[in-house]
Amino acid sequence: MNKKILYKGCLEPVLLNLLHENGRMYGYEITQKVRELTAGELNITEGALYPLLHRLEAEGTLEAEMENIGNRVRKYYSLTKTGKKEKAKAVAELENFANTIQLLLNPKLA
Amino acid sequence: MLTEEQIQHLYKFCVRHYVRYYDVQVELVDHLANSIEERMAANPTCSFERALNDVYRGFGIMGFSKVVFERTSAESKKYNTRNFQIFKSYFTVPKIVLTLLIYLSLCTPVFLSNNPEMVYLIYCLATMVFGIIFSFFFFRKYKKPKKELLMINAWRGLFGTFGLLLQLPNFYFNFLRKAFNITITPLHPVNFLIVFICVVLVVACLAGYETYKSTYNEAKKNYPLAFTDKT
Repeated sequence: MNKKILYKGCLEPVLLNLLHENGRMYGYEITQKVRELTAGELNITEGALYPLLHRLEAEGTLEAEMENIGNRVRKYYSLTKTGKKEKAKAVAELENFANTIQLLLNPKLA
Repeated sequence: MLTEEQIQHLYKFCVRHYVRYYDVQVELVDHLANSIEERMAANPTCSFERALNDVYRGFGIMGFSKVVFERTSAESKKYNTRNFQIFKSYFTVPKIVLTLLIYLSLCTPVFLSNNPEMVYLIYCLATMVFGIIFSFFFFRKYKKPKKELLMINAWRGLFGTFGLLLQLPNFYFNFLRKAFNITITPLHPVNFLIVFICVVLVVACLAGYETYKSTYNEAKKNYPLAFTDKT
């Protein structure tokens, strides 16, 4: 089965959680951090990450600030007040989802 | 760290791949630069061009177009949400009372005058003169950035709404009044309807202006280079 499909719906809570723990991050840093934390198991593609970041920014979940880094400009993302609430909700929903899947796969353990 | 020339090459690369907006380019250039630097550090024999092509492949068969498409719809949504919130903020008790007071003070000359049509004509002319003066100062204050910005291009509607407002007298005097034979008295029900439409359009114009102003100032703060000739 394609791993990407399984991870697709989890991207938002994962991203919100990362920003909650690291304060502010830029796009490339997020892809590297996820790769590092999952030992290369989950690889967020640029085509999936940036549209999500832009959507969350438009919804007011994230806010962005620009910083000059040498000869280029970097865009940092961080959680807004609403974003912090959204993060708690999204992580709780993901945990619920994981528990439900656990019930389906291992009914005896449940 | 990539050289200035290589960074400029990345900006040109974005343009060649149909990313014409500077605010979208900035983020993509930083991403490409980080990724290229990492590849070149891991493999010193890897050339800049080869690393760039490898990184670009990571964006999939759609290339940058998916990022641009999603960013366009996100900016448009952000703009509309901001505009609607400002529009809503005008509907508070003090502002409604102020609007009614302005309405009554504009109606008084119509009641007192022997020639109400002339009073309306003066109002319409005053609105048009205001429109011309406003447009002049607007374009002088909010100059077009030297580099195209998506966040400003997502702005639509202010001059559309303003145009509708300026067309309202034309619609009223040349169409509605003649078609329905309406007398010019402030108490005619159709006149109340026109006043209501006029108020909604004025509020929409004010909200549109405020939204544009805040978006423009945000763009100036975040992308100062877009407003200069510097590359």
